[in-house]
Amino acid sequence: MVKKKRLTVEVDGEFTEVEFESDKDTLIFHAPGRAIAKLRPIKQDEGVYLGLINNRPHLFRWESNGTFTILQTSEAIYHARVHRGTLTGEKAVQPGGEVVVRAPMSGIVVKVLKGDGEFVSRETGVVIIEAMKMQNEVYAPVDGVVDRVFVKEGDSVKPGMALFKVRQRKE
Amino acid sequence: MFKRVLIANRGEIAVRIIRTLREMGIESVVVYSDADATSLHVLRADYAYHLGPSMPEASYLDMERIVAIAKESHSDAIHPGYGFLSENPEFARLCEREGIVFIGPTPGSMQLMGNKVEARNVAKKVGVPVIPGTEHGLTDAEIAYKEAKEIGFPVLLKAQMGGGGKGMRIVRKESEFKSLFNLATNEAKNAFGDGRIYVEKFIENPRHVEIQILADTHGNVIALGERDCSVQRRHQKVIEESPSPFLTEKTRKEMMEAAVALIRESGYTNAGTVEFLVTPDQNFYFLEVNARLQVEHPVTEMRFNIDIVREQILIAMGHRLSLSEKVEPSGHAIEARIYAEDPYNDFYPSPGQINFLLEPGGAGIRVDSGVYQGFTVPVEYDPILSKVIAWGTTREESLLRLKRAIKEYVILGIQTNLPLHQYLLENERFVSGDYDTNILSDLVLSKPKADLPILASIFKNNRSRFKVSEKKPRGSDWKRVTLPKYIEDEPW
Repeated sequence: MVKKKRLTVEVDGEFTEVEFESDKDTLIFHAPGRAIAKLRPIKQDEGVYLGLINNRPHLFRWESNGTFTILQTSEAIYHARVHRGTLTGEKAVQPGGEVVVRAPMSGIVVKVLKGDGEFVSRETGVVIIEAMKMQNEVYAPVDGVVDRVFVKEGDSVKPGMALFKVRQRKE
Repeated sequence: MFKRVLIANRGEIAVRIIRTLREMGIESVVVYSDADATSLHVLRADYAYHLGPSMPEASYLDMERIVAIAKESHSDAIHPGYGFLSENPEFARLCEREGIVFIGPTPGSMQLMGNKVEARNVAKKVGVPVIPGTEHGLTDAEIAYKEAKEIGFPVLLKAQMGGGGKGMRIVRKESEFKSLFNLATNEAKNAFGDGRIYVEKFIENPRHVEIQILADTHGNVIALGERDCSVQRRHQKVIEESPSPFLTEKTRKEMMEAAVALIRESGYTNAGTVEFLVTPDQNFYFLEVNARLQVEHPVTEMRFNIDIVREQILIAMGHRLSLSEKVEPSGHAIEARIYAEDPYNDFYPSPGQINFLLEPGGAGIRVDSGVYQGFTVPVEYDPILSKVIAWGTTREESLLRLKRAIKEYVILGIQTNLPLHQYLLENERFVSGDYDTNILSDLVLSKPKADLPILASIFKNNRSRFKVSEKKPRGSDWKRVTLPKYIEDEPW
């Protein structure tokens, strides 16, 4: 079974979760939308590539400045980065449904802010994870009720591990 | 016939002049600064001489050095292009003294047209309307106020020593005049070392329309139609077209006659452009004469099927105008200026290396380019890269062709104003032809959102760059998740 990769892509400060698999020179995207992309170098030394995305041609150029990948299309220049792990997002939730929020990075749970059964609104912090001396608050993506918190203070977490589940309030 | 001509310029205009010289069997000599050592105009020329360091003062503005190279290279004449030394009477005189023909107007004509007050006097003499205003720069607010009342509000305050849009202020209310005048005086003193201020009638929603003229040394003057240059961003022209979609035939005829009369009266020779402001009710006012070849001259060339540089050279050699006065234009032409600027970042200059270049082509498309793939656009000069001119039998056809050409144009490695042209060619006001110089005044272009093609391009073949973010993913960052637009719009 081909393993799908899940990443968070940051472009000009905006984050998008991407799920894809790769096969030789082809990338098959499952999220954000299904697409098949083939990338061929035109001028490899200059980072210029031709991309066929669902058979539509696009010209790109990229270079790295150490922190960012600087990306140019015919429209504009973008600054991009790839992050390991996924982020929480509304797209994972159906109204009235449940969403499991997962750890975006490795770290240690330093605080659990909300308990089972507590009401939360969107962007309320539920768990704080510390990684590399930085603290990251992981929040509820929707209004609802904390169904279950799976971790406790002191637990070590890895990317993708379930932290808590939120049941969305029905509209 | 000249055997050899030196081009005292660079970039796209130098390349363009080389083309005419070659067609006329005249050898081209170019000059280059350090930054331009491998510039396109060097690659194309017959001879190339090093000028000096990149800064304009040390290179393309160094009169003595340029004339010295002209003599060393045995050049008969110098073509100054536009900008740089093209309207510098001292340079024209230096050429004269050294026995080198200057391809352009005489030093006297240049001087006359360079003096705005003198030029206005010539216009008034031949009955060409001028913008009502004070003849001299003023320093006394009382006197200025009296003049302003006579002119009629709203008025424009212009620093006498200012230029290019600097040191200008609009006064709409009589009560504000004195305080704004004093402010303007102080600003001008600080910025230009001279606090004198003109008071001029302010024309609302004007169009900028100019007439191309050619005059030989035998008394023949012709006007070659108009160019509408109202599409400007901070007083810098972006798109020019001919004919003007606004002018009536009557106004066009009157403006052309006015331009010819002015040029005849002043004794001006060679190529020049008479600039006017046109009000919404078809009244026109003389602005100034540009005593040189202009950036947007190809627009006129495409309509009249002529070579203005060739005419300039023939005039400089003493020939009569080869064009009859009855020369008729055909079709419609539009030019887009392509600049190395970032349209999403206040049009900040974007120098650097062009890593990938695909220029447009096809029917009715002319590209005057000064760059090539691999060239590093220098930071020291005007950021113009090229011009794309589209010709069509109708305005609509030329618009469609230009739009197509802009879409074809790929420049990677630096940022360009191509997105601005894409915007303009879809802009209702521009497409309808009903626009004035305010068309770009409130423009803020927003960068298109990253979407799947962009995301895909982040992944080189199979290998992605993984980097755990040092940046603390604060709650606020994670909030800014935007679903890519196409999820709603397009079925994959």
